[in-house]
Amino acid sequence: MTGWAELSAAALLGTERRTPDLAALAPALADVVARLDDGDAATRLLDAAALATAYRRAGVRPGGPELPDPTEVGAEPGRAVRPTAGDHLARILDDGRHGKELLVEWATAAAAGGWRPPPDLLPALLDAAARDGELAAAVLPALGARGRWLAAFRPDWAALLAARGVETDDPDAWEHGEQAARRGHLARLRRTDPAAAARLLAASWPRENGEDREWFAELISTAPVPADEDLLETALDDRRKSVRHFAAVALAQLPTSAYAGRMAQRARAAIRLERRMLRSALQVTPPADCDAAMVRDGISPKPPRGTGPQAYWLRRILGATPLEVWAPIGTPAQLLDLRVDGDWRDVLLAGWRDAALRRRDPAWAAALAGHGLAPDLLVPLVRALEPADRPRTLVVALGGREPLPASTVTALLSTCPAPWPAPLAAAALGRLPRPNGDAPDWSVRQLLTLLSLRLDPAQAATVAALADRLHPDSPWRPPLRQVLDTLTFRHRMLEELR
Amino acid sequence: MTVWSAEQVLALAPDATGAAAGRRLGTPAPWSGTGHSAADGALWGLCRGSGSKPYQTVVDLGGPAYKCSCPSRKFPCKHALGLLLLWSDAQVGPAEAPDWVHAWLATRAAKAVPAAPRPPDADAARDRADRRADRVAGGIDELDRWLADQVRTGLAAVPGGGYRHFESVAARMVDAQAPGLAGTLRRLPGVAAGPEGWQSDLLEELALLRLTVTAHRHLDRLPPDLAASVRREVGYPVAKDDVLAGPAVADRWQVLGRRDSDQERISTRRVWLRGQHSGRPALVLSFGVNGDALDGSLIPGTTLDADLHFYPGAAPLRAIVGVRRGEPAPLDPLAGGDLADAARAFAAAVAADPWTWSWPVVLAGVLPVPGEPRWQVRDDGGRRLPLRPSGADLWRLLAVSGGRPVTLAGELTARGLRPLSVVDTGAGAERLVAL
Repeated sequence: MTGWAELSAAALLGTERRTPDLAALAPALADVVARLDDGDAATRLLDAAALATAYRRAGVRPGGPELPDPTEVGAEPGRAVRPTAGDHLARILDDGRHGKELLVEWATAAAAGGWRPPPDLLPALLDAAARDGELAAAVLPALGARGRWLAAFRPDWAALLAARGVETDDPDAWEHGEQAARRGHLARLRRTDPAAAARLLAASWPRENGEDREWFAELISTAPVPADEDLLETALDDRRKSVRHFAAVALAQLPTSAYAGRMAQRARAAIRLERRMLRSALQVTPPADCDAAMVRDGISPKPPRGTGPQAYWLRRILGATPLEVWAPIGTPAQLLDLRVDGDWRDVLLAGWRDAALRRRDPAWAAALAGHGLAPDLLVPLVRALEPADRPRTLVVALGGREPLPASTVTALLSTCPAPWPAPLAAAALGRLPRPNGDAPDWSVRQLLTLLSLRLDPAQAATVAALADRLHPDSPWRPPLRQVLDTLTFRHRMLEELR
Repeated sequence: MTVWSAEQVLALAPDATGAAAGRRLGTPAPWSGTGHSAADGALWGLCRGSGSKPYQTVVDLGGPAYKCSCPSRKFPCKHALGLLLLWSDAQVGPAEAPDWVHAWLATRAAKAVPAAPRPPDADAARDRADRRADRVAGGIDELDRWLADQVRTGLAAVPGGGYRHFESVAARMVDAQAPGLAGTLRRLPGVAAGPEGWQSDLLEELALLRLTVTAHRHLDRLPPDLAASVRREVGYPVAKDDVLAGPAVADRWQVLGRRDSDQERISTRRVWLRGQHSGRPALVLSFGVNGDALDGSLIPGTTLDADLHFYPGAAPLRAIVGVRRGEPAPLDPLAGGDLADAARAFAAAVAADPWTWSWPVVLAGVLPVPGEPRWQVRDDGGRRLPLRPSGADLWRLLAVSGGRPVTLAGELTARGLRPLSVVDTGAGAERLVAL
């Protein structure tokens, strides 16, 4: 037993029960302790311990288990941001209110400009991405080599990157990897060579467990390619309901598939153009029942509560029918102008909207927006479009003459990322209620906040002019000044990342 | 005039709420009549608040010191922070200071002239000191008996007693005007409730208390510096003026780190400095009661040319800032040693003042190594030290290092290194990152 352990053990038990062997102390200490004159065992122990404590502390030498060195970050392309841009990012990460929107904009601009974030903010960026999937999509490309290197040290961060296929690939992952590695591998391969990914998965499909089959089917349903069709057709008969569901969702996006052909046949049987002298009309004959083939193709015989079964089946059929089927009748706008016999117009709009959403079809989206598609159906449709296609549909939706509540305007506009192109900015500002003597209510404030975060900062002058025209005491002035402040901040932020 | 970074400005904030509020005002909208004058070293502006009259805000960058007509008791208030942020963002132009700014700067200059010292009443002071010495001596004898009792009956029962085990003797030390001892005793329930090995830690603490007791009995025979260390442990008050009257250590003081802690109603700010020429470490403490602002004039990542006055002691560390020369400047490259140098510095401090618990060090060329059971730093010679984060964010440290050796400031203890800040060289110039 070392001298200190001897002292510590005696102190624990008490000198009444145990006398420490002071000879066990280091010789230099033992000499001094021997000269202590106190007769009491307890104080002798404390005095010896005081000496030993200083001796131990002063004598501490660097040491510890030989942990392996961390890997070194590799080449870091791009340039480090200037301190001002780092300050902006720190400020955004601290700001709970608009932090997310601004963070997306900062990260997008930084990634586009090849700027590297300050290294000390990388943990906060990774945490933010781990909290919020929407953020992750924007933040991960801005992490740079160092951010990806750092993420490898923490399982939650590493999983985040693996799920998005950001980390470097292991070629053996598919055959020998863990579940997450295999999923990551397939997700990456689908982005680079979807046909090869389809072959790879087809070969192992019978051996995949239900959970993995569901994950892969869902993955395919986000961006199916024709090479997936055989597998998906098999998956329509899968034991697992969710696999069947995703297979049907995926097949409906493949206009040349046999599935699409079956749906088109059902759709043509249900809708017929009747040419008339003055105005042609669409005659609707919904399916009388939901047969076994329809069930196999993913149509549920039982409609949700509140919906008639025939309307439901028709909408599902139209939603899964390739939009090309309607081309012989006319353009989307011409089709939507046609009269519809009976009460079926809303069902047709909803079904076509579902199909346009699946196909992310901007022409159909714009036509539907101009033909009175309800905002609650329109918003998800716009969100499904490629970001560059969204403004066109929104300009149509906002350009109409019927009044829209501010909350609806906000919901529509929130689908379009910053910065808005000029026509959309004009349409958005045109939907701003005219300032009056009352303070803008909550929904208008929401709209103003959105404008401040999404308008092109170059639009600041327009907003300033709007504010300047107001009476100095107008309750609209402070919120408009806030819009201006945010626009100014974004302007400076983007200037730094140019 | 060196413009501060937003980070440096926000380091002045009294708390997180204040920082957030300041950020919201760091935009041009609410401001008018802003300006800064290099000649006066000042910055001012009018900030529109909820009332009809805008608040007048002025900042003396040399202090820094602040004045605002708002009713906030926070210091600096959000308006001063907002104004500084605006300036940091290059949105305040040079201008001639208006009269109200000049007026305040003039009163400040007048106050800076120290009042004539009052002649002390020597007899009364000596009486007070004698009475105190008697009371302390009585308390110390009681503590000595209590300490011996602990070891005689054994420490095994201590954790079961919780904080009550120490509270009555600690309260007795307060009565005996030995607040330093009371403070040490009140820390002990935490030590006794520690993980495996607590009995060894507790024995160290009790043994050092016994050392204080013994040393106090021989106070007049100790060298003056060591006697001062003993008095500090007991808790004899040291007048700030006496410290300021002591020798001045002039240097360019590099501000390496800062930590705030709250205990009951008192918040404590620790700021670690290092003399650029002397390499000497210093620790500046400031206290706030009930949310008062803490001293925000020492900003990590800056260098201050100033005189420091050290509290007496055998390994002097705590200091007060005396005369300041000029404004805080950006940090020059930090010089540091390896782990053996750091261990030597710590050993020297413990040898001089056995109550030394930690010692500030700057390590150069050390590699942060993540791992279990504790992260480490490793130097060129393969020497290793465990990292004791204690509030520091090790992930930020690793991110800044990029897996390569870094320059790191921290507090060395016998149990490992507590990181305070790290130098980031990735953007070309050196930048101190607080951890």
